[in-house]
Amino acid sequence: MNRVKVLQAWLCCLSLWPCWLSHGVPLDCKDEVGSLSHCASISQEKLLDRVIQHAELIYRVSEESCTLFEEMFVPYPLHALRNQGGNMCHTKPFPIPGSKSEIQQISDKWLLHSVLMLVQSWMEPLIYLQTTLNRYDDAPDALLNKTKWVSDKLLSLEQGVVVLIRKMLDEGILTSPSIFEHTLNPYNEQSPEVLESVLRDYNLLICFKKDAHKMETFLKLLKCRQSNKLSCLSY
Amino acid sequence: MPLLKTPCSFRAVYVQLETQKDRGVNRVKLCVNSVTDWVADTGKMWRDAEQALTLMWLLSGISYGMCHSPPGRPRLTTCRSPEKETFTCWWEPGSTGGLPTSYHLYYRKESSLEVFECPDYHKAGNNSCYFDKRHTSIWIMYNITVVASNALGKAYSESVEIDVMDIVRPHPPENVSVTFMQTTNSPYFLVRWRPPRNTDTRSGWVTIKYEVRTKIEMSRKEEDSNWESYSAGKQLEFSIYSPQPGTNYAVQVRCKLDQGLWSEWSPSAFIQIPDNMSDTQNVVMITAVTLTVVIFLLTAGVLTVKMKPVKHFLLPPVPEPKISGLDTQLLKSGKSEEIFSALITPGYPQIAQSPDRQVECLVISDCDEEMDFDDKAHLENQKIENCLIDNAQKVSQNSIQITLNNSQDLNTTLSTVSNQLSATSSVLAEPQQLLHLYCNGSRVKAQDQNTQISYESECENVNINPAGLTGYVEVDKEKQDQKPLVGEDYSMVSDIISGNILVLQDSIPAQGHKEVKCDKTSEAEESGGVFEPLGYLETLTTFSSGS
Repeated sequence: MNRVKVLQAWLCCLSLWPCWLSHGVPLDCKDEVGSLSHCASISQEKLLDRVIQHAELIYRVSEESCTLFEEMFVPYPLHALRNQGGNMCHTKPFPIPGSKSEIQQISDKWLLHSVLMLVQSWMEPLIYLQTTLNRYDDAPDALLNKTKWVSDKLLSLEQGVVVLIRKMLDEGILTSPSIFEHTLNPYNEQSPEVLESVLRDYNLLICFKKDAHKMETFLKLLKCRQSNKLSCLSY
Repeated sequence: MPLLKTPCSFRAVYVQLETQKDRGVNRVKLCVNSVTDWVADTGKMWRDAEQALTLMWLLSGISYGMCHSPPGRPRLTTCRSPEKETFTCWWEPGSTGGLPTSYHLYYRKESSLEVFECPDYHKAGNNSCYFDKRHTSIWIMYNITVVASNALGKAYSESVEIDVMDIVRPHPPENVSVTFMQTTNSPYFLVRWRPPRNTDTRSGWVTIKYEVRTKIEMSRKEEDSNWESYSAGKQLEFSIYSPQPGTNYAVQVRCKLDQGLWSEWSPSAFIQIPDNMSDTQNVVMITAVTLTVVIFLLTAGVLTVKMKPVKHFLLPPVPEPKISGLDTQLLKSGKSEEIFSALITPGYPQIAQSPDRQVECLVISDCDEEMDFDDKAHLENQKIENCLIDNAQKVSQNSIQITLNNSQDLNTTLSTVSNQLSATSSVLAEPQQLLHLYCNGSRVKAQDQNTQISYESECENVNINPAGLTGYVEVDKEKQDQKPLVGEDYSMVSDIISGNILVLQDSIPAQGHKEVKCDKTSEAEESGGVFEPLGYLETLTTFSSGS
């Protein structure tokens, strides 16, 4: 009896051997941007499409958040005065191109790196923005939900861009945004004046909207370059 | 005009020209100091006032003619970028102040303090500034100011901060054309257009979205119909299905870049939908409908006329269990006589076996011995009746009397009778009519008393259809040697017990009655369950021999 049992167990293990193999190497990949495992089956084109969809959505939601905040908290005469307080959008470690002609001169690699850097630079400020918006007395739920949503989506966008970089440029990237920690300091101050803090938050939202648009544009240009190089550079 | 001579004079006359903040409305404020003592007669006062007013008017006239003033403040009205690569700003000039005024636009970029001047004042028309590709940066705040200057001074407009990203508004799409496509089943009209000029929609720099709207142009009604809008995405053509025939449509297209503003609507393109398209469709429709109606009417007519056969054809009636001869209609009508008469039909074989079966007492008598048997026949009749009455609860007239008139061989007669009877063996539970069989000469006539139906046949082949035959009679030929029952003296029968047993009164008076029960059962067993009449016969014969 014992022999039989041992034989059965051995046969069982043998039949399960392919399962162990597949466990080690995922054969069917999930078609997700956020997936970090090395999926051989997803195409670069599809991945890029997904990343662009993310960026478009983030931009649209950031625009809506901006409008909501403006309607609720910013006094009407100040709508046009956006940077009057002297607050400017936080600077980046390396310059971002500002016009189409400049962007067309940048290589694919720099485009992707710019996007990644933009994404990473906004992780902390968005978290700060969530906490500060909660302190407002009558902040609409839609606004709070949108900022939370954007914060989450930004994380998945970062992961997608990292995967893209790895695929397209064969580079490995660390996802820790250590270089941006110093930018936290200006946001930790709490201004006693209501209007000033309102304007500062407003400025933050506007800056984020701008950067979201940048990300979207860069990625779309990159996509065009990937598909057909000649027609993209003709203009 | 003599100079004013008044005892008191004006202390001061103040004329102020105040420019209000609502741009160059000149207000003249006359501030007159009061005179300490002014007493005059009315005429003199009026003359003085007149003079004063005239003087003042002259003064202001002169100053107006002679004085120049600095210009009023200009105002930036709009800035617009048609393709996110260049942009233009327009302003509205203030008052000129009487002197030739020039306008300059200066701008600063977001982070630097360096001031630049507008690169192109003329391309976009008067009072405009056009920034070409080299001078346009996206995602950067421009701080723009317009300065109006003349010989007397400058006026600064309010500063405006813009980001090119926010002021994107494209030109309308171009070459909008509409064509009518007439396919057989689904006509539609196709709208086509080209993207707005100079807009780079192919490199991914901007994502363009189109919108089409249509309207029916109605000349007779004063009120215009409303526009119907359709979203068209990125494509350069659009199909609109099922247009109304015989109408005139106006079509317009507009576009939007990224999340910017919608462009103006393109100029309308018109199309006339022809009428004949509807006619062919209508003819087909009308003929189809007419045919359908005609067919329907015909079917209805046929159905109403031939309801039942059609119904039987379509829905054959389910065969119900039916007793032939038993008409449900008669039952409903409730005439019992007819029912029963209807039940008796030729070839009706069914006689149910009842547990308490009636024994058919078959009496066969020889016609030759009629003389002797006349009273015996009567007796037999009576006995039979008794027998049957004792047997069953029902009054039954089950008897078949076969009287043989001639001296035929009883054997054969009995055998044929038995054969026939066995052939038609069936037992009825209901009381039946009496069938008399007469064998006159060589004929045996059976007559149904009620219905007067007579069956005639040869004696040899006696066709008996006894309605009340409860069994068959097997006549054992061997026993024929014995003295048949008919030879028995029936006057000896005193009683019949349970239909099978005849209690015979012994001719020897000394013996009295003898009961004949036990042997019957043994006889029945011996004969293997032969039907009772046999046993009955045997019993009788044994006893007749015995006694």
